[in-house]
Amino acid sequence: MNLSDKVTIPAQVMARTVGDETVILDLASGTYYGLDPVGARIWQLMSEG
Amino acid sequence: MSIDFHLGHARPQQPLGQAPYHQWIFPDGTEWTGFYRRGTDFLLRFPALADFEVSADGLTVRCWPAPEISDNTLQHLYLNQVLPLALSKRGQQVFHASAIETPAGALAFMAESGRGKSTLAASFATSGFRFLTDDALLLEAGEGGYNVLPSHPSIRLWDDSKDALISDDAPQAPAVQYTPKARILFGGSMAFCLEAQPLRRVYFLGDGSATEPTFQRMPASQALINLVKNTFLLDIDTRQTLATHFDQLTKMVAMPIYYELDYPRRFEDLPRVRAAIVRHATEDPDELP
Repeated sequence: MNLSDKVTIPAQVMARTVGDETVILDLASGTYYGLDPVGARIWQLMSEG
Repeated sequence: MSIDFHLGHARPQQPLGQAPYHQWIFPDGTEWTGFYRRGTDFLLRFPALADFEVSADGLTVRCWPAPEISDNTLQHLYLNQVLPLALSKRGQQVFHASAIETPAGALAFMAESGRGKSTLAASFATSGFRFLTDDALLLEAGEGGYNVLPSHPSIRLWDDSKDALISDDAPQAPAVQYTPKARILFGGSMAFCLEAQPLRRVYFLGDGSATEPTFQRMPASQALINLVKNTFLLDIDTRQTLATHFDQLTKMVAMPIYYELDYPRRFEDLPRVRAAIVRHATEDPDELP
């Protein structure tokens, strides 16, 4: 990975914000992740492109 | 909500010629349920027990039992496994959980299998409280929250719990063919609540390592993950269905009603566990840690 690479969120991944955290659901694998506020901010920036 | 049930003739289960889009698997790796698509409908196969076809709209269920499967076994499979999945297709929220009624409202106990949610519900139901469900927690949105709808009036228990909690003269349903658990019917010493009750708390049961009843508020994000894990959902690979479901659960976890509960798993401790739970449920969530 280098600075010119662009990170995108796959279509099968959904996220919802609850409080100051974010929960991510990966439909393909059926797994769930919780992000703390820092992770949630990174996720938000990724989703904004 | 009315769902039509049609019982077909017994027939041997033939290979379906396709892979399931989802499976429920026992801890030993054997399949409990295979989920298949049949055009726009769904087929649920319980190996060596029965096939259930659920219409695309969730309003019709057709059943074909395997040979020599009892009506009682079919009824139990339908009420405890198939009906909650069909209801999920109607947009209903259904979870693997037991629930009881208290003066403060309905309390739900959610946990992975084997953590004691049925035993705890039976303990309440034989101690002056009424139970609402043993395994399928059906919720509907109500004024300012959610209501718990009554489910089937029976509780399944392993022998040790039955011996500790249930009197010998308690009515029992005939055994079903896929589990040695006894199925205790309401009546006798066990009380059942026939009316919907407002949901007051959802307790996620811990592993039993606690030496005293302990309560810890669960962060909304963790509650959301736990609700997702314990959901009955038939149409799990359609993005729009999942997105809608995810949105509904996200709304649910905005309420401050989710707690992790752990307590020692000793029958002699159940009276003080019950007392601690009832006390906790009556307290204002804003004043709890």
